[in-house]
Amino acid sequence: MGRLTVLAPGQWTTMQALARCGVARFGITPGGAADVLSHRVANALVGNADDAATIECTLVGPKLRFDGDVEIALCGADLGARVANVDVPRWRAVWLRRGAVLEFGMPIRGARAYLAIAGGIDVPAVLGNRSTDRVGRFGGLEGRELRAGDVLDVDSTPFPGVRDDVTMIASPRVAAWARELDLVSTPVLRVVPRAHEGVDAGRVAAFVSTEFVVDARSDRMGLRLAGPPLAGPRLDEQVSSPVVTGTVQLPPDGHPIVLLADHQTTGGYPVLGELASVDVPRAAQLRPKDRVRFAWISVEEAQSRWLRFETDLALLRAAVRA
Amino acid sequence: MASNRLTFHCRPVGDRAVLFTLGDRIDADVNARALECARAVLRSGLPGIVDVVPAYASLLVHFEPRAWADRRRAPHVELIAALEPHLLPPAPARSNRRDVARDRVIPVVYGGSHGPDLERVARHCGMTPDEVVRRHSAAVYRVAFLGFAPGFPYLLGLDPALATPRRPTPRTRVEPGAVGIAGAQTGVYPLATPGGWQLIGRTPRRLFDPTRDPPTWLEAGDRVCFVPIDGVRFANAEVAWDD
Repeated sequence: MGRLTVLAPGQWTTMQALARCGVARFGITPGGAADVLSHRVANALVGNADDAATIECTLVGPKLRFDGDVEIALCGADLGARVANVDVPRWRAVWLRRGAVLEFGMPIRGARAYLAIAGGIDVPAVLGNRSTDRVGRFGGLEGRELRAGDVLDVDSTPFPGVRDDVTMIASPRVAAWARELDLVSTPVLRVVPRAHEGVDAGRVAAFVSTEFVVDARSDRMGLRLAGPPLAGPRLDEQVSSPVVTGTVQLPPDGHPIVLLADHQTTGGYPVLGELASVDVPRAAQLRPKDRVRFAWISVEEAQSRWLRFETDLALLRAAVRA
Repeated sequence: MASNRLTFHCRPVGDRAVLFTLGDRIDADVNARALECARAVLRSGLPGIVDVVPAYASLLVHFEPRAWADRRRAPHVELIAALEPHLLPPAPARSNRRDVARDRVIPVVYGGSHGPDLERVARHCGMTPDEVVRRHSAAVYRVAFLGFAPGFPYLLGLDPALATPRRPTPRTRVEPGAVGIAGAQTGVYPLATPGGWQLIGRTPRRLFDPTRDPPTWLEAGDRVCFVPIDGVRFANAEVAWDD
C-alpha cells in the first residue's frame, strides 16, 4: 500500500465515483462525478472499474504527495498539473515516483479534473458507493472535501529502474475525448425538450437563441446562468416533482439553472428540458464567466450519442487490458 | 372514484428517464396510486431500472439506456411498453391499500427555544400557540413522498387554518429534527440545512441514517402523527431507530 498526503486542499476537492443508484426516492441526491465522462476514462486508463473513487479537483487543484510509486491518470480540465517543473499530461496513464508532489497552477481550460489512481482509493462505500454526499455528510472521505493533513490509502505500483518523477506509460489514444471536452469559446449544449412544463412558447424560443454567461454562484448543485433574463408572462410554481442531473429549470427571475450532480431530488420550478447525457460533462466543465448557448436535440439522437460513448469506453478498456 | 384505471401519460425526461404522470394536483388518492405504481415498478424485475422516484402525482423511472438498446424501437419506447402492464391497478379493492401503510409517531417539543416561530404562526393564524399545537398534533398526516433532502417528508394533511407563509429571510441554519410550516405544507428537517420554514418545534427522533437499510425512518405512504412531549424529556430522550 502507498499513502497520499494532502499538503494543500485546493478550491473544492472531493472523492467522487459514479452516481448513487436507488437513493433519489429517499431524497438523497445521486451525486457522483460532475463530469462522469472524465471520471470513467481516467479509471479506464489505469485499469480501474468505473466505480473506483477518483479525486475531483475544481479550478484550483490540491497539492498531493505520494509516498509510494503510483500509476495515475488525469482527465478533464487542464488545471496546470505538474510535478516539480514537469507538466503532467492528461488523458493517459502516467507513473509518478515515490515522493512526487503533484500540484496545480492556474486553471487553463475547463473547471474539473479527475485524478484516478490504479487500484482506487481505500475508503468505505456508503449506500454502495464512494462518492461524497456533502449534504448528508457521508461517503468519500467522511462526507466532506479534502483538507490539508488528510491521508488516504492507495495502491502502490512499483516501477523498478525508472528514475524520473513523471514517466508516461503507453496508453491507447483518447484524443477524441479530449477534443470533445476542450471547449470552444461558446459551446452549444444540447437539450431534450419537455412539452407543457409551465413555460410559454416565447421563452422556449428565446432559450435557444440567447447567449448566457455562467455565474460565479454555480457549483456542484447546478450552473446558474446570467445574461438577459427570459422574459414573458408570470411563471407559476409547479407542484414539486422529480428532477434529474441535466434538468434545466426556469425560476421566476428568468435566469435558467442547469442541475448538476448534487441537485436536490425534487423541484417546483418550471422546466425547459434536460441536457443530453453526453453534454452534462461539458456543462460540468464550464467556469464562471464562460459563455454558453443551447440547442434542441431529440431523445433518440441523445440516446444514440450516449450509447456510442459507452461503446467507445468499452473499446478503451479492452485496449488498456491488452 | 369513478374509474378503476386512472389515466396516465408518460414521456421521456432527458435520455435516461421516463415520467409517468397520474394527475396535476395534490390529492391523497392520486398520490397513493403513484406510490403503488412505484412499488410495482420496483417489483417488476425489469432490467436496467436505476431508480423509481414518486412525487405527489407522478413517478419518474431512471433507466440505463444500454439495457434497452439494440431493440426494434428507441430505448425509452421499449421501456415504457414493458412498464405499462405493471402500472395497471391490481384486482383487489382500493380499500386494501390503506391497510399496508405504516403508522409513525414523531415526538415533538413545541415552542420555546425549539419552536422560535410558534408565536408568529399563532398570530398569523389568529389563534393561541396552544391551539396551534393542538391542531398540528391532532392531525394524521400521510407521507406523499421523500425529497428535497435525505429523508425529508412531504406531508399531506396540514390543517388549512395553520397555513403560514415562509419567513421572508431564511435562516442560515435549521437544526436537525426541526418541525416547520411553509405555506400549506408541514415537514421535518432531517439534517441541519439553511431553511425558510416557520419552526414550531423539534423532534429528537433521527430521520436519516445512511448506514441503515432503508436509510430513512419515514417512507412514502407512511401515516404520521406528531405527539407533544416536554422539553425535559427531549434533553434525555434517546429515541431508538426501531421504536
